[in-house]
Amino acid sequence: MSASGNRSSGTDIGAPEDGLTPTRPSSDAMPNTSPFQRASLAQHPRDPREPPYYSLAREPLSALRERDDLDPSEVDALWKKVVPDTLKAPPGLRSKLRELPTATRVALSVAGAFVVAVIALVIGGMRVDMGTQTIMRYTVAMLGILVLTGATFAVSLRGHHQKPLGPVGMVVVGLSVLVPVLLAVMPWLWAPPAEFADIPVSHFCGHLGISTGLIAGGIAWLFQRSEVNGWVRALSAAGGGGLVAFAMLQLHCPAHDATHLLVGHAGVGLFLVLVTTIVVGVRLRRRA
Amino acid sequence: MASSQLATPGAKGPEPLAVSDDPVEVTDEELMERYVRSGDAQAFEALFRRYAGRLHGLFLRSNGTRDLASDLVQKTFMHVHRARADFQQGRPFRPWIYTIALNVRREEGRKRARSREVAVNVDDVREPSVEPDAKSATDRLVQRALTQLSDGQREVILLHWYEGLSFPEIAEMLGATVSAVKVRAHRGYGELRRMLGGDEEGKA
Repeated sequence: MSASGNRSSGTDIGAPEDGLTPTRPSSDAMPNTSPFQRASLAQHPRDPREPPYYSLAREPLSALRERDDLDPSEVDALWKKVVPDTLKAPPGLRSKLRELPTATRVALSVAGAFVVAVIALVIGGMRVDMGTQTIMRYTVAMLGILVLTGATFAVSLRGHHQKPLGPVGMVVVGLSVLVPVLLAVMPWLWAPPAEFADIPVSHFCGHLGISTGLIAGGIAWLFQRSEVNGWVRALSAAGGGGLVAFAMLQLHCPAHDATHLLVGHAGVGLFLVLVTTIVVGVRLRRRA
Repeated sequence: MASSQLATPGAKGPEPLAVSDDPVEVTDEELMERYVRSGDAQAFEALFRRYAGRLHGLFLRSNGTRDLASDLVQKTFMHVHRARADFQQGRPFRPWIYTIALNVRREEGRKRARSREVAVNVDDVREPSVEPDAKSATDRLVQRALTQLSDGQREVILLHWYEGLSFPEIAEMLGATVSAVKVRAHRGYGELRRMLGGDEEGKA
């Protein structure tokens, strides 16, 4: 295709200046046409019902709107730069993963995190008193954590084609850290029966939890469409990893000591978020 | 669009496209759907040629330089490519690509803000500059006036007036209500009118 499609010659892509053009602001839905038809101010004399600022918009603003910003040779040069990142992007697993639809990326990252948690449980074993625990309580807790994990990964993997989340993203990150902490300060929720009450606690939970959280968060990161570009994406991946680690640890460890639950189980998410904050902060400052 | 329909870029689909033969007749949505479905490089190029200039203008008017605007156009199309599986059949293409462009611009803005934070020499922090190659005094005047608006007002005016998007489309893209967008536009236009001396005609 030649450069003739450039907007500097809008009519050559078949967009006659025929009144379908967005010739002036309107709150009505715009017709579904290409946007390079140009306003022809002479065709639109002042309407007395217009707000007064349109008079301004018709003159100096429209002069700027009419200005061409790229000539055809510049468009050609820019196209040559775009091709290596798009049509000729190197194929590979990473490319395939990040080009999947957003819903699929989120679902696969949650599924991947689930697999990581199962593997960790195979390595670490299920808690010995699992048979005495209330299944309903566990199911509700685990489903809640699963939903929150999905939400954190959805925040992390949000596509550029989606409208900005605003503060909601940071709220989700906060919840991913806060919910495990809240559950940890209620050890009666997870208390074992008397015969299992003296089970010693160890650092193993922390090690297993951090490993699980790192891998789960890393899996979510594999699906990112761009490199490190902001706090929310990175922190929500870390928060999601922490949630997966917490859920896994609650299925693995029978301890009900509040300090152990707070530091060794819920602390994993906080640890991952803090480490991610430092790593991302350093990277962003280096880039800046 | 289902992921199974995502084709490798450059691969030819079962039905050869007539994009280069008659691009006039092909809508943006058809081009995008063909690119998603069959990976047609010509369709992608046609979309690029339709939108590169407009997006460049949008970025340029958002306090950018020509080089920065070109970089952002490049990034926008990289994300169009990577997000092509998310393009839903039957949805308009124009708000979709502008949403990507705005997010790319926002990210760049954050990066530049960080750059200013780590800048050792405070003299490097300058007022937003006006492109020296603006073609006329009016261009420079208006562009300077635009830089004086708040980010929110400028964003809405650029999309509303220059890009011809409707308030509902802008609201959808920005994640705001239509009323909030209208308020920003009204205040922004009012500010511009005040700065550019358009009050007299407005009162007429």
